[in-house]
Amino acid sequence: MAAMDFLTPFYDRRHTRDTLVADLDGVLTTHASTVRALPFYSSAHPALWLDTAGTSRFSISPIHPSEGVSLFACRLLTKDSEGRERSHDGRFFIWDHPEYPKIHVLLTLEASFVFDRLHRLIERWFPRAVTTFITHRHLRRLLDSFRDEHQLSALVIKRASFRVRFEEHDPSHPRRVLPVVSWPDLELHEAFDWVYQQNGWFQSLQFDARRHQNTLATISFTRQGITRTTGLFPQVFAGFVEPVCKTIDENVRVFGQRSRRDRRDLSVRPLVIEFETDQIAESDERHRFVQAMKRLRAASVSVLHGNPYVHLSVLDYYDGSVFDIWVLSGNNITIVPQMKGTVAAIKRVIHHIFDSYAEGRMKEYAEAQG
Amino acid sequence: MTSAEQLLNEIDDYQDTVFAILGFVNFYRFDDHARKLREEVIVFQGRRLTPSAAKATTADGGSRECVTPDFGVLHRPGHGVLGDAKKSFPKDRSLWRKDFEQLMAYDDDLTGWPCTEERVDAHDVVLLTHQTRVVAVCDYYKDKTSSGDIHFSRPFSVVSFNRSDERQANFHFEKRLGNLSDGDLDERLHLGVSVPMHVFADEYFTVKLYDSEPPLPYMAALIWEHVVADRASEDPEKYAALHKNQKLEVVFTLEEMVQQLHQSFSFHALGPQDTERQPLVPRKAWCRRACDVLVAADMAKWIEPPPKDKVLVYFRKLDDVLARMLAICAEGAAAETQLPLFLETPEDPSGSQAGA
Repeated sequence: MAAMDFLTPFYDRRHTRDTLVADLDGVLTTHASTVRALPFYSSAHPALWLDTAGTSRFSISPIHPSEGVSLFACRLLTKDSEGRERSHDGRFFIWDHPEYPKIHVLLTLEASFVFDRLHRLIERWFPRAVTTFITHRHLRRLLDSFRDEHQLSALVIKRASFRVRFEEHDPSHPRRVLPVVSWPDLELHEAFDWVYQQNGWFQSLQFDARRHQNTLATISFTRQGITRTTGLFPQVFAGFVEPVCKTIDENVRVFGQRSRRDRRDLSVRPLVIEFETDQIAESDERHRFVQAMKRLRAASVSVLHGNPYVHLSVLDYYDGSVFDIWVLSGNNITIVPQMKGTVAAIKRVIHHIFDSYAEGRMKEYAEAQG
Repeated sequence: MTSAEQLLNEIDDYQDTVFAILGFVNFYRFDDHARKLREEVIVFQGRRLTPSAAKATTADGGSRECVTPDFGVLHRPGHGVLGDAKKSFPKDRSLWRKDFEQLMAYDDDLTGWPCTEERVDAHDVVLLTHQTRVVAVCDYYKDKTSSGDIHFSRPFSVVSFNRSDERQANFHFEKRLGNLSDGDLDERLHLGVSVPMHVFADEYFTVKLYDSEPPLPYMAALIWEHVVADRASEDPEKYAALHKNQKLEVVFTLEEMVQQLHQSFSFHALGPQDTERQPLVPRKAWCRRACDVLVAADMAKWIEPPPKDKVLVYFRKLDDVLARMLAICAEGAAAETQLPLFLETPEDPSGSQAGA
């Protein structure tokens, strides 16, 4: 009940798009709480589908749908160890981005088990709702800028999970989650360099934002762009949530209108993943790429040609998008959406390549040909 | 027995032939100096051209209503190129005569070129063939021209192609016999030209079929991925929710299938559109044969009596569509070859089975 004493008045107050971030920070300042933020793209406004996306065990209902910020209630039914039914009520906001019309941020002060259900619900709404992924390089840049812009003396990693490419299905190289004690003395750049050398990427990072000896906030940031913080919320919002919204918007613009059906002449609009080096020139490397692609879930991946050039055909089982994937030179991979190639499916394929093979830079096909 | 690997090689050959056609016509389309495609150059594939009265009769006395070269180019007003692409030739050289008869039929004042006059002042005839067969083909040509069996009055040349399996995939073209009217191109091809595949890759991305029937598993995979799955996903919720062991029934006509694949993957986007002389690729018969494969594998059934124009396909989420099609075609071929063996067994005096 203690939590309700301050949260009920907070939720009863009308928040606007301009005030919500500061209002949530006010809660963090006065009460030991955590705010979580999940930016995502939605083809239709979430208020139109969230209440229908729930299940019999996890229901959602609108409280204050309004322009810019909507408040929702959620109810999660669980069973305790003795089989008794338990009900957990929570609330969350959907914040509409003022610049990017289809980008929204789910914000909540609820505990992780409620947030995780909300997160899963949004993931289940794929391909109509899509989250993003943050590349290793981008993640590093965001952390460096955050530290420098807010004159923090250090970002001390408290916990991190990372994955190693290729070996993740090899029983001798299970998914690695480093324990808390392994990290405190490691500088940020050392941690990134180490993971890079392992051909891996951070799945999530939890760190203390310190100014001299004071810990101002404990912040978590994941590859999917989910942020959690105990303080400095306006700074965290500007430093992490906003850039993720921008990335999602870029994804939608870059990945959008790629279906051949979108154009009268049915021409293709390929995308290229370009590497800085001749990453994929050797036949061993091309074989590794093909093997990595074969692990794409919910898809048919057919190999028409494996070496010296690579030609794959990919059929997406979420929405029926079809792609040809070509490797015709040593430093790039070309993705050719055929008649149907949705934003969600393109994002999924690229995310999979970045996760399971290697990260590169996205380019238009013509630009990559120079 | 036709193994999946052999079938995959056949698909590879088919794709290489498509690439060779695209690569060769690109010599005319692409302006090396301006670094862009010449808009005035017209490329066509599988177009029906009408022979002159002098060549309206075949060697065996039959009537020839039209000729359909594998590729054609109108590269400047009144001047063109016609040719065939043939990656392999049969071991029996007596069968080559037919291929050359076809090429000689292009050596004619043909009507139906994609220009206002429908005719050209001059054109070359070209045979594109693989590097491994080109010497034998040129020898055959020389033998037959000296004996008078083969004769061309227009410029005729043989150009070899091969895909180099080096770090960077490219196609190498080299003129091995005769001359092309375009002097610059003739000189370049005399020395040999290697073209990185990515240079003319734009067209690869849309052209998967030419006017020759592709291997069955390839055709079946194209139908499954680009027609069946496309239709199945028209109901997004059912499609997304479909479990691996479930089926979604999809019905369409062969005509719809042909139209969809023609729009998507033929030379349609590169060439003239008039359908009277430009037949639809793929042909309905190819689609019918590919659907027969699905029907034999219990993945589809014909829902109209012969001539089998409407099919119901049980769409499923296959892990690897092409691998599945290769497997069912290889199984089908194996069953066809094994059946006579079983029938012959009772007559086998030794009582042993072949291969045992």
